[in-house]
Amino acid sequence: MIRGLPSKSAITHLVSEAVSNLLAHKQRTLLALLGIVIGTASVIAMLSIGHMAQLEAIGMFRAVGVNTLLVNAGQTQLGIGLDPSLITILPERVSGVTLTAPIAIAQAPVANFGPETNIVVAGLPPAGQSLLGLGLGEGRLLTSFDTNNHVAVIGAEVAIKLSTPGRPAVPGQTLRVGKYVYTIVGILKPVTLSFMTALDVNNAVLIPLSLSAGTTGQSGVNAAFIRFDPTLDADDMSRRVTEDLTRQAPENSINVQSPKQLIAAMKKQKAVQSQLLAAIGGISLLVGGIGVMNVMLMSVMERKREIGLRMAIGAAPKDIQGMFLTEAVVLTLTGGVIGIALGLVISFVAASLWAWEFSLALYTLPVGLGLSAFAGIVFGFFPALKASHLNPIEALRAD
Amino acid sequence: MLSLKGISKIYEVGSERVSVLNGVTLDIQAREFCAIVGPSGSGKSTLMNIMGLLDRPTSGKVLIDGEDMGAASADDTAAARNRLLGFVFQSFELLPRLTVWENVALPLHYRRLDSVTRKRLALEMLGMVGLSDRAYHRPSELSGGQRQRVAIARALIGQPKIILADEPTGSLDSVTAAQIMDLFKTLNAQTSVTVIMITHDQGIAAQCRRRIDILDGRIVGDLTQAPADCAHD
Ligand SMILES: Nc1ncnc2c1ncn2[C@@H]1O[C@H](COP(=O)(O)OP(=O)(O)OP(=O)(O)O)[C@@H](O)[C@H]1O
Ligand SMILES: [Mg+2]
Repeated sequence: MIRGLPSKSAITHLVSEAVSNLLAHKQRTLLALLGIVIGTASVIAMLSIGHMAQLEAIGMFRAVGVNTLLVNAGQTQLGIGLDPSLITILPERVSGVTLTAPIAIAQAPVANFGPETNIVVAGLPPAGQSLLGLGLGEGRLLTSFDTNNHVAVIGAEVAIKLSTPGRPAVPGQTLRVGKYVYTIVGILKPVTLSFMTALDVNNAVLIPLSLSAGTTGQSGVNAAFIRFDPTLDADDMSRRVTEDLTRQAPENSINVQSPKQLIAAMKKQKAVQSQLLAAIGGISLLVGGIGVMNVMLMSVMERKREIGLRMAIGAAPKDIQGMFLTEAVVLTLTGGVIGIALGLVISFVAASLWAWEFSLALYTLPVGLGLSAFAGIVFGFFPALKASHLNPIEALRAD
Repeated sequence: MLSLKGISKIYEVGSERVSVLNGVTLDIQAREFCAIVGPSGSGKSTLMNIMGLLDRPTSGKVLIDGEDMGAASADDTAAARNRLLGFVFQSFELLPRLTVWENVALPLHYRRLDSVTRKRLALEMLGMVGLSDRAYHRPSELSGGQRQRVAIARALIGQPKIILADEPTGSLDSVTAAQIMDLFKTLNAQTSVTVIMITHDQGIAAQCRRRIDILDGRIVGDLTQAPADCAHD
């Protein structure tokens, strides 16, 4: 009795029969597909959006560098920010600190002849620009010779916002910031995302730190960038800088963030989103799977006579089981393929909405196929078992 | 070849026990051509289903080529049906979505034969039943007699030892029935396959060498006769 594994031709036969059976009930098949399509699509979208977010996060810190700390200093009860000298002497007080940039961030009315608008004005030393990883679009950056010069470098968005017909905001042009007149010396390249969420560089006017208190009326600084030796641990540096600043300025609330922490926080946030998508995917797959089971049970009921006939001419229970399992898997795999395509479309749209670079994580394809085939096996199993347990005589008598 | 020893079949319907077969003992030799005759409800189909390993007796033994099939597993009986038996039904039981040749080839699928061989053998069988020109049609495009020829080709393709036919001419007019009967007789003579046929038609029963009469689940007559109107003797 030769009853080995199914041969290639037997599999082709099984699959082509499954396809023709499914095509015989197009509407029903399509409905059953829907859940599987949505389920697979959400899982694929989840995985590929996660993949792109990861790449974005890596890209985000490439400009700033992971060996950078961000200090946020709240104001004292008297409304006084941190003394910038506490930041500038950090290289002497905390070993490993190589470069510092205290930044004073405030709002001030800014006007280019036209009506004034409140715009973020950030006072920073020249080193702050490189620590922020800023790129220059036009003109020049602030230099150490600008300490007493009323000059400004403006963000790309600000440049657009302040330009009026006939008077574009370009280098050489003057701006009124608070009560002072500043000369624009440079326009920054657009920055996609900033490590320092407190400062949206695109929408800010950058001026020398030495002039900011007088211009905006806000004393002290409320933020700082600190670069440290890349061989040192970010968490350890963050702890030591926090300790030192808290001791020096107990009145201010000091909060130090490292890219590592930010990445961790972002990952946590992403994990929540991923769990949500995974839940949607899981529920859809479950609902879709139950739909597939339903369709398969209907198919078994309708094809009782065929099952009886096949048993009479020599189909063993496992042959009948294999026939219906194949049908279920062909069904869910079709849904899986459509779902993968849809998931990729969704992640492509999401990427273009968030201005991310679209990137395809190849591993999502086998995951999607595997998942949908698995759903077919799980939810096709019971109908297939039921078919194989039919009594051939009763099956042949069915109408 | 086929032996039934003390076969009984009892159905339990609710609290009632319906005894459909009562100690049927029967021996059928190779190449025989038997008719099973009896009134409706006498247990003919039940008996044939037990012979065909589609059903198990409540008690008694079924032996094929001396082998007791009582202990055979579902896989073993499926394999035995595939290799040793061929079924022909009153209502043909062709699969409507398959072509004629695919229907004929179906038993070979469960024998794990490759598709080229399956098709070659199916076309050969169709030649034997005179339907070569219908190989690519669907069953719905055929007449009743043609459909039964396809079913007979399907029953024969696996070169079984026994063909079990439950009222094969029951759905056919008398002219077509006679043609189908002729086909059975020819095949019996040419391929030496054993034919066991249930029939209500006395004329058809008279054409068979052996006639077994069933009444209330018992054999009440078993005679070997000189077949009337036998073209192949
Ligand atoms: N699954 C079952 N449960 C209960 N009774 C059954 C079952 N199958 C058959 N019977 C009974 O067994 C008896 C014999 O049935 P069977 O089908 O063998 O008769 P038959 O001789 O083939 O009749 P016919 O000539 O009408 O086909 C009938 O009375 C029938 O009601
Ligand atoms: Mg009957």
